[in-house]
Amino acid sequence: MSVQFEFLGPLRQLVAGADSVGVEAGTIDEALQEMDQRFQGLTAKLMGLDGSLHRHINIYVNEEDVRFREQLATSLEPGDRVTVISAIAGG
Amino acid sequence: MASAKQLERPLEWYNRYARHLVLDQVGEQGQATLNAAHVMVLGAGGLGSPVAMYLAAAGVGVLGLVDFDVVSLNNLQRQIIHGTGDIGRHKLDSATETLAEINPEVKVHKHQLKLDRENIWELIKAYDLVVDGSDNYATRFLVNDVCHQAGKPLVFGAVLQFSGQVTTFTREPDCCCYRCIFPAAPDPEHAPSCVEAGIFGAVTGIIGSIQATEALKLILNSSGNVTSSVLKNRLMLYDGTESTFREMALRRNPDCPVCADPEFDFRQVEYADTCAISNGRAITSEATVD
Repeated sequence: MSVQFEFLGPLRQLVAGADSVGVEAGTIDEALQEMDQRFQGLTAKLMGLDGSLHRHINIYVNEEDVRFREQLATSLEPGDRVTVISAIAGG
Repeated sequence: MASAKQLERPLEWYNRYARHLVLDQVGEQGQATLNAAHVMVLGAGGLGSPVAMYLAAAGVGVLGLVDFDVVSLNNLQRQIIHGTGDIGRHKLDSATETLAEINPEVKVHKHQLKLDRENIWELIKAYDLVVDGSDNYATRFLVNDVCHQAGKPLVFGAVLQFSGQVTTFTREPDCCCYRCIFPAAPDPEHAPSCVEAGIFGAVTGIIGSIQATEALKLILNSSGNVTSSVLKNRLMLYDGTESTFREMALRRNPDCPVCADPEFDFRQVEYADTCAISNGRAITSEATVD
């Protein structure tokens, strides 16, 4: 069973507008690298050159922020629901 | 919050707030607390419009509106506190007229200025809580940082395209702040502006209405009559393309440069514009804590 990634709001354009993307991967990092093969440039929008998550990007595994787990090394289990959001500032 | 005075109330008061007065969570005591409250609303734009209009309709005693802009034609698709006849007027003048029409009992204080770290401290002191309807990261980080330092609850809301985010920072010891969620603003190349990315107008109504609800509940909770849950440590996400609400769990970041640092002082932080546009390009960005 794969893990479902959802990119919300303006980030959805990174995955060609898909509602969700299924990935088979053991960690967040592996999943993002795998998705980068399908959606070129995806990781560059989410991560800095040092390989860490941009500070305006949050990834939640089952509603839990990975910053409070193992960051991009956070492990994934089949059936997990991963949500990726960006800070927005419009008013 | 300011104390709710026991007064002889005119019949009109009972009539105006009749649908509040029958609610267990409001009642006469709660309504009097609303009437005595002072709320600062940042921005008289897309979010600020529904926020200010609902707070005025609910009878919040004093509304402090902060904005320095004038009404433009391209505001009117979402900034419903203004009308076509207001184009070219200062937004605060236009907004104040609308609010007076909704509820003449509400006092509106107009703060026609751009918030910065020099003026915000004195301004914010007069208010019980703040609702953020601003449109740029610099202001959002400034307001978060100052509200934390001043111990003022902050209702956060933001929109872009069809999406919205809303949460409430209560200032309770276990409540996160904005920098716990997003420690810093995006670089300009990663931050599409409202102008470039667009905003689906009605989304501001949804998020602004939730912000107004949160603000009113914070005020009512302060009266200690009946308490209701607010979006403390919960980030509500609205997706207008799918018509869905989602919620993410938030928590205090033990390494937060603001709320985890007892020595934090917003006066030491550089705040610069992000969402501002110059010749079609976003100008410089970050609001960082060293």
